[in-house]
Amino acid sequence: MVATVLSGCAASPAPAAAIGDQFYRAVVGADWPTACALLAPETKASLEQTAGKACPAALQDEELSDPGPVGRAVEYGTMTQVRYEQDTVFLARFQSGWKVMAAGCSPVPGHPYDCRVQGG
Amino acid sequence: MRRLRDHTLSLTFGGLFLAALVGQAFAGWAAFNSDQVAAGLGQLRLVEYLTSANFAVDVAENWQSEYLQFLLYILGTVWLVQRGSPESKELDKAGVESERDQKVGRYAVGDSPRWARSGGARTAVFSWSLSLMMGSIFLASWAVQSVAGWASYNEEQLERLQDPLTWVQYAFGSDFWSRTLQNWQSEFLAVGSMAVLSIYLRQRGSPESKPVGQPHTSTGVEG
Repeated sequence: MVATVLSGCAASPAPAAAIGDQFYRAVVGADWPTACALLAPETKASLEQTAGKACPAALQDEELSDPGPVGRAVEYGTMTQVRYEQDTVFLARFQSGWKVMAAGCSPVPGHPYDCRVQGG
Repeated sequence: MRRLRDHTLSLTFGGLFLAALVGQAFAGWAAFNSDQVAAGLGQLRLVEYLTSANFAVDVAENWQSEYLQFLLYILGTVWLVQRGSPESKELDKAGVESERDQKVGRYAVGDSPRWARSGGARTAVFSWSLSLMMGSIFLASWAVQSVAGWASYNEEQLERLQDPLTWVQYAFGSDFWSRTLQNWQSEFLAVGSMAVLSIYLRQRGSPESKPVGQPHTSTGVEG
């Protein structure tokens, strides 16, 4: 269950959060092509390279689950972080709009989030 | 034309400021987008970059340090002296000096500013108005640096898949103080160098230098 958002620091994080919601709706509905279309280019390329298969199949293998209700979104410049009850997603802004840079992320104290799907 | 010539110092530096700011805008925009491409992130249009925290912090961190430099120099030279330096006043004049020396109140001259003549709070404020203005711009720029730097740093935190900081965490953190102190150290070095080098070196025609033939031991003499 993916709801729409929230509170944040900057002007309006809602568009980014809406993309996060859209991404997880596609994941929960097993609509892999739609979910892949919402990934940032670097993230999609990294996912395909690591898995050795096309994005839809590679994304399915990551076993992303329903993140639960949406919590808080914060936007700084070209980046937004959206926290769900059981997951965190990072989005980056491109000329074409917001894209998912990392998903399925869990906090690791003192370190970057550990993400099932991420670029680089 | 003559009126223009009477203001060449402010006009020239005003023009240089604008040219450098425009140059900084384009160079900073290119550098920002280059970093974004390298990190696989989206690029900004020029107008987006000019309204970004990244550009604001780069401008503000330099402004605050420059205004702090002049504020400290203006205030420091009230009480601190340097034998032989044209940047110092005469050694026995340290301090805020007398009403007569400063031409205030009943010692005001014919065309003294009205607020120097009136006495009381107005004269007190006017007597410190240069430092008050420089100090206000310094504090405002430093505050802008802290907020813009915080936003810019948090953008980087999110790029590194890390949580953003609160403003208080940022203001007491390494990025804010690294940006601040790297500017301050260079300003203090420049001011100290100017005070000392001008004891022994000259620039013919400059009021910031002693006259070329003035002895090294002369203090408070400007060319």
